[in-house]
Amino acid sequence: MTPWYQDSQSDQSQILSSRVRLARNIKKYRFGQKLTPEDASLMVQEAQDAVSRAGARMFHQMDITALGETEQKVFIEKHIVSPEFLKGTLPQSLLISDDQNISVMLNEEDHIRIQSVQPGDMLAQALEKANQIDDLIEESVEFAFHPEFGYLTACPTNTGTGLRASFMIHLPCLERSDGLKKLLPTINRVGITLRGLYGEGTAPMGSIYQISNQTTLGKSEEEIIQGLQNVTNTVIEKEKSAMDKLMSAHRDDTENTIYRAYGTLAYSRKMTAKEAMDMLSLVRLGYMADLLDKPKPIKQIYQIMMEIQPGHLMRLAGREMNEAERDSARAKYLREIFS
Amino acid sequence: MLCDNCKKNPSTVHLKGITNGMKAELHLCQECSNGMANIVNMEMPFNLENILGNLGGADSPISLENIFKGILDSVQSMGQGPQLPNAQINSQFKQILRNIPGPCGVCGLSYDQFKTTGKLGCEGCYQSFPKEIVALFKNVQNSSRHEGKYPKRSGAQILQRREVDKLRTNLQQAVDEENYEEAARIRDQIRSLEVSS
Ligand SMILES: [Zn+2]
Ligand SMILES: [Zn+2]
Repeated sequence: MTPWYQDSQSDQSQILSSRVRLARNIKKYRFGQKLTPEDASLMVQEAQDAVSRAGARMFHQMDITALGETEQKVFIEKHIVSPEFLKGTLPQSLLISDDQNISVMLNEEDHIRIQSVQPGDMLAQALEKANQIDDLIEESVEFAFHPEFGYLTACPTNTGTGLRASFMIHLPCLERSDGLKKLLPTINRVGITLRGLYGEGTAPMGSIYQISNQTTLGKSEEEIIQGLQNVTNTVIEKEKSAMDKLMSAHRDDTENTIYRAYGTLAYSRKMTAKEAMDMLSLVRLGYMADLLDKPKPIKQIYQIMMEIQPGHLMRLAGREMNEAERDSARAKYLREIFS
Repeated sequence: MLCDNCKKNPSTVHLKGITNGMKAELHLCQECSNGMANIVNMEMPFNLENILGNLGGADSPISLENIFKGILDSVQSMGQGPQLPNAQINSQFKQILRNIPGPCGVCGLSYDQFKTTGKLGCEGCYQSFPKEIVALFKNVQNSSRHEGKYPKRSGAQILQRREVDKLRTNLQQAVDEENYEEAARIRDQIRSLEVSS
């Protein structure tokens, strides 16, 4: 398989990806903040052995702390590791599948964090893959587990299933129509959160959002993902009707905005990340609404969004760059794709 | 609301806790709470850090900042003559403060540290702060019961717990329907399951 963001399924609906994270701890070790360096090292080794016994052919191990800063940024921008993980001072490890869609962080907030991503609307498949790894690890390791509370985690907000399920969604029309703000309280009431992926607030860059479950107790994994699926479907329906409204009421203006965005991407000489994200968002909307009569770029739009982030740009250039240099490099990269 | 101690000033510091098995609330004005905190400081056998961390347990929805601030202010104003508290209120105040969990016996994490970081230190912490954690689960998660997947090695235990849960629901139903014969049968079933565990 290819990384999820290269899969055309990430670019066919408002749902870009489906992601699942499972948090687990090994019974005989203390949690992160009370773990001694010696125990951390033993724990990482034990977990690593368990994972490789489970899927030796599937994963390769990476010492992420040994990588350069740029390479580390790339992993954060791909959402494979968290910034917190890279700040860790104790022994840790990252295990990652060849297509990078499944990864295991060892010694993040919890001893073991299994992450599984799929392109598009495939949450059940993402959960299934994470569960497989979980089952395999469990064959050689005893997890901290309580008959009433379930899987015990460092943070009580993860106790129970240890499951965080999420969709990455694109909501350009709902965001503009103010409908999003109205939806938020209802969403929160059923234990689900919606937040911007790039910057907080009501208008995050590129209108890319993450919608995820907040509660991990009282429901099975399947009920959690079904609940999230239902709420997400409602949000997507609202986005679609906001899009229809926009097309019927302001078709000319919308068309103008979208073609201008395309032109900006194709001809600019300098571009900030924010501007580029917003232009890419409009172009994605143009394809989604069948309004943009231009061949689709070879890369999926989200892949482009990721590759114009600082880490990716600097890796492409093979050197450190300051902000002004990155703005030029970003515009050049986008011209090559769009013009 | 007027201060419970002086009955003159509006209360700004709100404490909640359990005394003698009953829920207790104290609403104090800044001055009275300062005075009491001073006295507590001098009299009580535990350190201030503990008090700070544990005031207003996890089930208290009342602003913790207020309480912290009240106590911190009192530290700064030590040396000024404390206002004499009403004896009954004062003992209630101390009772509330006594009702705080000590540090985790396994990893040594204090309840204060947990409140600050939101993170537990070990599996044992779940046993060390049981009431607080269950209250937090109910607040944040709406439930304290795991209904999801379980490790195969804990399987038998879990299945039995879920079986007992189911029987309890059935028992309640039988009682509601005044079907006492059935209820007695279910009760025996629950007992035998619990004995075997
Ligand atoms: Zn008073
Ligand atoms: Zn502990």
